[in-house]
Amino acid sequence: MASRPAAPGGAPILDVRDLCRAFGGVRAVDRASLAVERGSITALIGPNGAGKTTLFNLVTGFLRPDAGDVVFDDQPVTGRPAHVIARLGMMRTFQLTKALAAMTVLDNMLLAAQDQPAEHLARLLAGPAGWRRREAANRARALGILERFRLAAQARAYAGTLSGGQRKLLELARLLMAAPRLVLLDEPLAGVNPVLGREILAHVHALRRERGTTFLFIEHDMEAVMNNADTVIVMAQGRVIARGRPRDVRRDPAVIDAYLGAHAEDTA
Amino acid sequence: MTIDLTALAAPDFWIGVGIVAGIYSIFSLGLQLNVGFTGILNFGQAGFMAVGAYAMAILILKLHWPAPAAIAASTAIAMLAGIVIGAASLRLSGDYLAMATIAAAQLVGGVAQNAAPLTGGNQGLLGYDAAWAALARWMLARLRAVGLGDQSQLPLFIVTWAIFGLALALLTGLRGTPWGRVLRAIREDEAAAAALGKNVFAYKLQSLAIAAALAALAGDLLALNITLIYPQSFSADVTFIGFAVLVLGGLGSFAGVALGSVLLWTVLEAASFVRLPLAADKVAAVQMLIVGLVLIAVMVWRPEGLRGKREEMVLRG
Repeated sequence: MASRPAAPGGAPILDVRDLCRAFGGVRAVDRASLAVERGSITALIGPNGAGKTTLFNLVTGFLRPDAGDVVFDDQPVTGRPAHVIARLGMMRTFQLTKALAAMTVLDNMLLAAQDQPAEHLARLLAGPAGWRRREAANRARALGILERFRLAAQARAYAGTLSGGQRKLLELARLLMAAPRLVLLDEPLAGVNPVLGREILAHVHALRRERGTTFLFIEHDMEAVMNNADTVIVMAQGRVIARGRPRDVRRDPAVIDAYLGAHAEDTA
Repeated sequence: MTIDLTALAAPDFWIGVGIVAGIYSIFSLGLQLNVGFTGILNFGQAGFMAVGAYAMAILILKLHWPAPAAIAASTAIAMLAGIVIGAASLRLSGDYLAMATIAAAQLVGGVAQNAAPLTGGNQGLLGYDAAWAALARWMLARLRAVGLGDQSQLPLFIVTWAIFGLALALLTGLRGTPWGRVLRAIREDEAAAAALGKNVFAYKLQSLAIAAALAALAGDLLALNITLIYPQSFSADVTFIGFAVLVLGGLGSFAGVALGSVLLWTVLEAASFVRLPLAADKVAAVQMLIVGLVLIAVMVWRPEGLRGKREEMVLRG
């Protein structure tokens, strides 16, 4: 099993140690340990059923781990609620896009802003005037981001009227609005045409370049993984079995075994 | 079968319908906030109504509180009940939450039936409306000056719709705020809202507490209208009529609630003018049958309700 090398840029932004979660008798995540370097684009790969999405759910607070630790930016966040972890600056997307269909594109964006005090009833009733200024500033920022994602023309349309690819872009734009330090993307390229896929990846690279945002993404498209990730983490049967640069991981016998093993089981 | 519609021309018919429609409008505003704007299936709204009405009556009759204080306290107590019931049940989703809220309302009914020293049991409570009767007389004296003095129910009509107007203004105002936007996001997708850092549970609790307060106000007004409250005044039927109002008016429209309620109660009360050679209980059943037909007709003609947005309904699937 690969050890966790110390990240060159100081402590890793995400440090997962011996994480476990079982569903009935199935150990979906079984003592998984991994580290994500600050400012990296890290891919999480592995055959179907390896526990990648479950790991995402455990790390982001959508599931509680049975055992193990999650440390985000030097803060222990193990078992904390999803909204608390999101506010700390670790945000995620889902395999199936979660555009809020019966809300407008602009409302989707404004919802992501993390600095609107009037989202809280007590503060809204205490100071009913100040939030409108903040709202206007957020609206301007949101429209700028939508421009960049070529969604500005649809700002007032219901998000549910967007195409599947546009919804993926909206999800990414929403994250940009929220400005997290670490983003976990669950299969950002699944069901997306190649042109849009390249566009999404270009946004990821641009975000890292401009803001230093760290990305951890689950992906099955090996070409995209090899061409875009600095580091690849491989899971199989709930464990992390390899970690390294893309070209090293590709040659790792354990990785080849895991994929071939899964293939053999599929055809059996 | 004969139909005698002369009563439809009488003002007191419309004032009577208007009071009940107004009470159900306030009641259903709370449901709209829960179901239409937060995605909480609250089937226990009648329970909060009972909590409010009984709290008001008990504070006036047993503790001799002045009526305004009792009404304010009854809303606060219902909100507290909403928070307690919500804390126990709001982590459940969809159908399970609906079951839990039904059970909570049953519990309230059970207490009202059995805590006889406090609630009067099945005999109920009466005599709590002395202060209101005095206020109504004062209002009638003023109304007489403009020639409306002979409508004894007019004061309650005015107060009911004034409260509805205030509640409508408050909720409409809140809908357009960032707080209201978070509620709508929770209605659309709880996980997505949590992933963006929203404390879904806290928002649902607030939504339920506000709905409970509206139910309590509706309960207080209902108690003043019927002058005798007993457990069956707040049966599950009340909640289901509330949902019918919601569907008629349209999900996601606060003003639609009033339209739905007025339409429903006009039909319900007018149906009693259809004279059938039947026993009283069967006539009541026929009334509900007519209401059902109207509901079906509206759903065929406008599936989104009178004021609902068809596009949102389609997008939500």
